[in-house]
Amino acid sequence: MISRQIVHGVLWSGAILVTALGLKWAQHNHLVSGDFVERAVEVVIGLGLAVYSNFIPKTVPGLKLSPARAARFQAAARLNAWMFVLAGIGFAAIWAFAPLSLAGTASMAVMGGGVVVVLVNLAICIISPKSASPAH
Amino acid sequence: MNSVFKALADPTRRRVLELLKVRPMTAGELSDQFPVSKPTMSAHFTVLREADLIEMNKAGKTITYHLKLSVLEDALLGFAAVFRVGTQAQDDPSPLSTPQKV
Repeated sequence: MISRQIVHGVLWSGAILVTALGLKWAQHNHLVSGDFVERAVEVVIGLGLAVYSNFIPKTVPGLKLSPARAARFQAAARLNAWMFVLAGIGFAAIWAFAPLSLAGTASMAVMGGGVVVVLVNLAICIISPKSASPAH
Repeated sequence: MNSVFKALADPTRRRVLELLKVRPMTAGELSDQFPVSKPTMSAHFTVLREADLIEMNKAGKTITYHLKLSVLEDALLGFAAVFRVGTQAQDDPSPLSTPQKV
C-alpha cells in the first residue's frame, strides 16, 4: 500500500516536471506565452493537490483505535481531505481565470485558508479528551 | 468505478454509508437499523466492500465496519442522496436490487 503511494507520488511529480519542461520548450519556440506557462504549471499543481487529497480518507490507518478515537480521526480525515480538495480546485481555478496580478495573492489566500482549517481541525482532534463521544 | 456506482445506487447501502460517517459500527449495530434480514445486510456489506467503500475489521466474533470513502465518492454519495437514485428499488427484496423473473 505504502509502496503504491510512493509510486503514485513519483509518477505525479514526474508528470509535473514533464509538463513544466514541455511548456518551457513550447515557450522557447514561441508556441505559447510566458503568462500561459506560469498559469498552466500552477493549474497542474492545484489539480494535483486536489487529486492527491481525494484519497486521504482511504489511507487513514484507524482500525486499531478505540471506537471514539477512530470516529474522531475519521471525521478529521474527511474534513481535511475536503478542505485540501476544495483548496486545490480553488487554487487551480484562480490561476486559470483570475488576472495574473491577483492570482498569486488570491491563490495563496485560498491555500493558506485551507491549511489553517486543517491545522485547527487536527489540533482539535488531538487535544480533545479521549473519552469524548463523536459529534453527531 | 462501476462497482462504486452500483454500490451507491441502492438506498440501503447509502444509508449504511451515512451511518458509518458518524462512527465505525459493528455489523450487528448496522443491521439493527434496517428492517431486513442479516443475510441481506451481509450481501449489502459485501457489495460495499467490493467497491472499496468500507473496510472490515474482525476482532473475535465482532465485525466492525469503517468508512473508506474518497472525497469524490463522498460527493457522489451526496448527489445520489439528493437525487434519490434507486429509491424505486427500495421495496425490491433482492439485496443487489436486480430485477427478478416471475
